[in-house]
Amino acid sequence: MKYRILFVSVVVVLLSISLISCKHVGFDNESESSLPFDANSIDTTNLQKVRFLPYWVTTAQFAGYYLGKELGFYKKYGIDLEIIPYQPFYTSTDLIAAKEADFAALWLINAIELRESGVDIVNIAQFSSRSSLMFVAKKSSGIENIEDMNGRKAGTWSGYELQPTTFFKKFHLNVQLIPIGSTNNLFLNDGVEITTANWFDEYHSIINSGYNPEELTTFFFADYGLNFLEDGIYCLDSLRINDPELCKNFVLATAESWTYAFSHPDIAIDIVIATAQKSNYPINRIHQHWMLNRYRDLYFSSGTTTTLLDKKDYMFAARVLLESNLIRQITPYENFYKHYTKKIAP
Amino acid sequence: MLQKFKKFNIKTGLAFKLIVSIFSSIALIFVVIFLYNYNISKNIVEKNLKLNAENMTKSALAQMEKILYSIQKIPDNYSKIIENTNYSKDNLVNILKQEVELNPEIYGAALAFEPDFFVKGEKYFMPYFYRNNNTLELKFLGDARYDYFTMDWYQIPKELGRPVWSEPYFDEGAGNAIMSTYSVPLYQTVNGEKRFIGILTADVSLDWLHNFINSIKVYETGYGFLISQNGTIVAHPLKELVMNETIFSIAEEKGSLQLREIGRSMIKGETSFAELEYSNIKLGKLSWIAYAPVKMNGWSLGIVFPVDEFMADVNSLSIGVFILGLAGLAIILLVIILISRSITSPLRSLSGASRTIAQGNFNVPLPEIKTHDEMKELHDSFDYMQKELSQYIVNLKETTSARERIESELRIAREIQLGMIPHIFPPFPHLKEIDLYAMLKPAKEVGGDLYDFFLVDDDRLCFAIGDVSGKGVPASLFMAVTRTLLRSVADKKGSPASFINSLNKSLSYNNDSSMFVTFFVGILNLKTGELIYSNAGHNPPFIVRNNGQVEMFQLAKSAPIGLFEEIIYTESIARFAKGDKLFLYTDGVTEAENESKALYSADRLVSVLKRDYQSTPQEMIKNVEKDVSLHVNNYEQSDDITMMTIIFYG
Repeated sequence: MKYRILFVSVVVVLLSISLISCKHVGFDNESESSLPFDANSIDTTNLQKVRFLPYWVTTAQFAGYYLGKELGFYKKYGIDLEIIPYQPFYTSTDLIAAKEADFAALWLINAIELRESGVDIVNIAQFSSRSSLMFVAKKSSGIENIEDMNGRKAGTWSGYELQPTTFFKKFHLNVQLIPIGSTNNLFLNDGVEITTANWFDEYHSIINSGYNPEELTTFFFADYGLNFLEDGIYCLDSLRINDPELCKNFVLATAESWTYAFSHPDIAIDIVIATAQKSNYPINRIHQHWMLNRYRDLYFSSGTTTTLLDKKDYMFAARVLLESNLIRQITPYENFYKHYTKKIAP
Repeated sequence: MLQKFKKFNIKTGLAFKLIVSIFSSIALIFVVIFLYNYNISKNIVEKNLKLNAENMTKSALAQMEKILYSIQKIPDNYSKIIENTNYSKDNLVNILKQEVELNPEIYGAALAFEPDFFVKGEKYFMPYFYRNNNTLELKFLGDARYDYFTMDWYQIPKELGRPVWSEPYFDEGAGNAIMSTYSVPLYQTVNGEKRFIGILTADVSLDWLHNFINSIKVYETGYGFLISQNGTIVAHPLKELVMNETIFSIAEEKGSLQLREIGRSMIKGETSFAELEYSNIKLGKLSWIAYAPVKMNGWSLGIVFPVDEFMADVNSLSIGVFILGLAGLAIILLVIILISRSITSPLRSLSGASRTIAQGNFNVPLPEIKTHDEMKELHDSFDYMQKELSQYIVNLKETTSARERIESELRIAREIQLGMIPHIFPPFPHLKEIDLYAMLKPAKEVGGDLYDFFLVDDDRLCFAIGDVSGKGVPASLFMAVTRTLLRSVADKKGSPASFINSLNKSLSYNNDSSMFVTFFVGILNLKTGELIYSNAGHNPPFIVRNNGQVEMFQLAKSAPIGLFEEIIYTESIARFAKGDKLFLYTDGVTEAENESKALYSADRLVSVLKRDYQSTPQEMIKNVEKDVSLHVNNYEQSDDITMMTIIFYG
């Protein structure tokens, strides 16, 4: 499911070579006394209209973007941000309607594959420094070590099989992959013994479906040499060339927003929940808190405080993709990553 | 404060003690009965509640399961029809249409087949009938964007090989209702091998379930709720929790491990009927919870019993009992106060009366006692005491006035007695040859000692000292007689022995009381220092020589005057040099007693005389007197003390 949606977003990015229109937009900024800047003193007369595409529904995994939009961090950098609402089922008309996405958040391997497919996207900021992807198994099913997974069924998301298959290959395990949807229900119903999960999301959902952490065995891919970086900001290279200032401002605004969100989790969660409720998604506060806290861990996992995409991380992911025949050649690092380094202090 | 309390305590002592002891005992008994009553009632209510909780939960479950069973029977039956049909697409679509059309409780139904089932290369075949404003609509779903093979409603029954109710979900198309899908896996047997071919579903709105759960009313604020197999809140009086929260996320938010454990027990399909106490989600009230699983889909129904509400009857009963108890205690307190007052108020009056009596007012009226109990006895005793005391005081007054009269007479007698003996010193200021000092200190008002001195002629001084047997008035009278007789018998011609013989004759005559007097009489020749003396049983005087030597008169034993008429007393002569002193005394001096009955003794007297041999007669007597009183040390004087000292200057 995620994979498919991801590709929808890819198409959106692909189709968004569109013009960046500079519109005069009135805005209703709610002044926040604790903001690191004076929201009222921002010149709102020449804001640049920008559309951002998240790869999932409104949750705290995009808290920085929603908070930045709501509290005026983007406006501070001259950006009038629109966040394109995630739609579970895109139709062709939807695709056309979504033509105008300028920036997208993507996982690194998906972005590399996209680049391979001919879309000329570049990474302009890498936020995630650790993979949140993991396997979760119930101890009650007898899985406590890697070798216990042999001969079992594992639920994986289509489009996200690379890490699981690489993992099983690496440890010489014969595991049947069962493509699963976006819920944990097959796993919870013992339809599969192992499931793929994001630490910041599904893992906590399993905990909040009544399983205690000590009843679960977890395998973080990052701990087994498969640290595929996740959230980064991508745009078409043409946009970067035509309007480097906008790219820089978008990265700076996003970094500041995330920093503020991490230090003001309640404000961030309020904004996320309010946004989600407009779309009638089931959402619960405690889960969003967990998500935001894990995002802090993922963004600053190795003490990283910049938006730098490490060449080693890029080359590792690209090489695994190449070895798995998912790409035919590796785009040089220098062509893939165009940095606008900005410190994101924790 | 303590003092105040003590004062209060003393003032209100008996009543206070009565109130405290009786009242606190009764209060304690009341508390024990109250607690016992409360506990028994509480146990009864709790026992009933457990039964009630079990019945309520089971009956609610039975109703729900009946409905769910009737719903799931429809796709169950249709799945059998489908499995036994010829699998033409039109036929299947018709059967599916029938399923929705004939069963109003089914909102929509889908038939979804495995890839390549009908035609090789056709991945998806999924007709879906659903209601749209009273009309049935048909849609064919399944494409890259609706890849149903990984959807729960398809995948879970397929993997588990049995029909499954899905987790609840919101469906905007069905009017934002909470829905659940019942999916039945379809199988085909080919060459004896059972093969999974697809899924038949029935989408059911859970609005009825929501209403049913919300219709569960327990007391005032108790309620029912339903959670899915994953703990998702499916029905709950707090709408905002429904579908947004799981019982575990609420537990995490509240930091309640207990709620989490309850949730875990519920999703495991366990039952519990009012055995757990927790604070409920709706109002945070302390509540008991009963829960049991819905067999069809593994969901769990919970019913919440707020403690304060199911205990309301017990509490109001307890409050009633408590108020009655308090009223009873108040009445008991009042009764105790009244009784203790009826005891203490006559006691207090009696106490007041006795104080007045103590102040001398014996006629104070006693309080009237109407009862015939111990108080009356006490009153009568008081009355008797009052009368007796009154009589006694009358007698005492008479006695006292009589005594006072006697004392006053004695005082006069003493003055007369002391007036009879010479008491002006120095007595003969014109005589250079001698000096003289004397003192008499009676043990009682009047005494039996006497001394006297007078000049018989120009050259001769007569002096005498005596001690009458006994003490007090008789002795004083005898002394007065003796002294008067001495004066009358002492003439110029006489000598000490003649004086004593005359006195003896007079006093012995008709001496019925057998009183007697020791007597020493001397006549000192002022020119020569010659002393002629006669002694009738008196202590021999001392001569204190001018060189400090002290000599006692060596006298033969002789009887005192007044006993034997026929005795003839003789006389002796002594000589005085210049500066010699004569010290006369009665046995009151040497026999003066202290507390331990030790006598003053002649030896001690001699040592004082020796020490003070150079002092004047007055000094000598004062010093002896001082030494005696030092010995006696305030002990009661038992005998008259008389001393006389004469110094001869020549």
